[in-house]
Amino acid sequence: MSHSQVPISRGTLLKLRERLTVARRGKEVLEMRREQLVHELLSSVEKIEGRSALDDKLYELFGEAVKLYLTLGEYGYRSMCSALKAPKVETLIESLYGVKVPKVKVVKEPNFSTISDPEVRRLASALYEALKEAISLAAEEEKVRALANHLEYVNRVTNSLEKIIIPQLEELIRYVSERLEEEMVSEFTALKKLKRLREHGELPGS
Amino acid sequence: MENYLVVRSHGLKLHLIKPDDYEKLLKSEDPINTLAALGYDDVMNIYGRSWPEVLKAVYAKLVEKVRPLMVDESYRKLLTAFLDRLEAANCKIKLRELMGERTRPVLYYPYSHYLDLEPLSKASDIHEYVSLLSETPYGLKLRYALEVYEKTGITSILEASIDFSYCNYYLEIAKGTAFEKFVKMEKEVYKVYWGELFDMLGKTTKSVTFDFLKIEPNGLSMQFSALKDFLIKLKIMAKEESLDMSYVYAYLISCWIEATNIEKILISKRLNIESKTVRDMLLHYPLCF
Repeated sequence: MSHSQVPISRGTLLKLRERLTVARRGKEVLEMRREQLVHELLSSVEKIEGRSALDDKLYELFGEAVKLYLTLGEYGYRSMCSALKAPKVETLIESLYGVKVPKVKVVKEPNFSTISDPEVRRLASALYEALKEAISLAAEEEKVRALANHLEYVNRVTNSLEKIIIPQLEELIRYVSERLEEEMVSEFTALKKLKRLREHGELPGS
Repeated sequence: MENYLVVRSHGLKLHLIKPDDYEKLLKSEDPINTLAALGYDDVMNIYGRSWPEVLKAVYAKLVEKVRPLMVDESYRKLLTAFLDRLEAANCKIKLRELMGERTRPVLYYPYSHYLDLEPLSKASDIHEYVSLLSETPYGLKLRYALEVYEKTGITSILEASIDFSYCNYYLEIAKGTAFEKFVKMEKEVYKVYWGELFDMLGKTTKSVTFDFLKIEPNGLSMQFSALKDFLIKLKIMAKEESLDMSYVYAYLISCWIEATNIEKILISKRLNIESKTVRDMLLHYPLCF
């Protein structure tokens, strides 16, 4: 808002002061929110750091699965897979500080007891655990992405409040108060002049 | 007749895929056409060349390779019992499918003797399945196993009962023939896998014992090494008695090994698994080349 657009009045000054208070409070709230988001983001990043270990684990399990596949052959492998009672997984969206983040929930764990061979059962169970970890890691990565996007937005708003809105409001308040003061002084001078003229009988009709 | 079988096996051995041919398959960029060129084109023309079809063709070829030996009634029964392992495997495939949630289509070996594939694949619950198998030699212990399963929830007892019944049926047919000792040797390989479960199934009475709760099969790796030992023994016997029935049995086992080896190579080509890994997993024929 440019200076010329602002009506110079006490009411405007009061409104501007109110807006400044709201802007400052908003900035404080956003800064607090930013801190919370950063804290959340850092704890998620820590969890994601376990990814390389998981990659190694998956690579190792994949090697074992390949050997098992070759040992059992297509018929045996498919048949062993068909014996499994698969897990049921649900994807939920939950709100974290107002940010929508995905969450994966296992509704029903798989039943490995239907696999007769202990080696296949052990591998299937290990693969499931690793994949469960991979899924929760993927959800965590998605959470980080959503938090980072929101953090960027919060940062932008906080910066615009801090660097643009608040200084502009302060400047407007300063301008309006100066103008009001000037008007007050000029009114006072005019009144004083009028009083003097009345005392000297120089005013017409006095 | 035995002399005929021995001579025929010596002749048929020449049609087996040789170790060099495995290398060709492993190095081939088009393993299916390479396999067709190695004498599988006839079965591939019947079953097709897509992924599950080619695997069916491989096992159909196994049956084709054994069929020329079925010239005499007594040995026809024995050789059919040898091939019936595919049917027993089909029964186990169906069983696992019934135990699970049937999320993926299963694959059946293209072989049936006592049980047509269609009614087997269509069985919708375990009780229908048990009554279907009770008409066959594989269902000998199944009702008892089902009783144990229903009380304990242990599924391996059901699979073990099928293998147990198959082994006994095979041994019964081989009794008094030159194959008896080999069938006994092969039964040992099954026993290594199933461990105590096999012994318990042999001793069972009608009462259900909860000792099954402690029992678990020994696993694939033990079976794999037991199989390797069996093949070594058979190879020595086939070498020493190359004009005897040992050679015929070694030929039969070689046909089966050929099918499983080709299956492994085709899987490896499909998954881009390096040749070295596959080479280590291939079984060697109990015959000398």
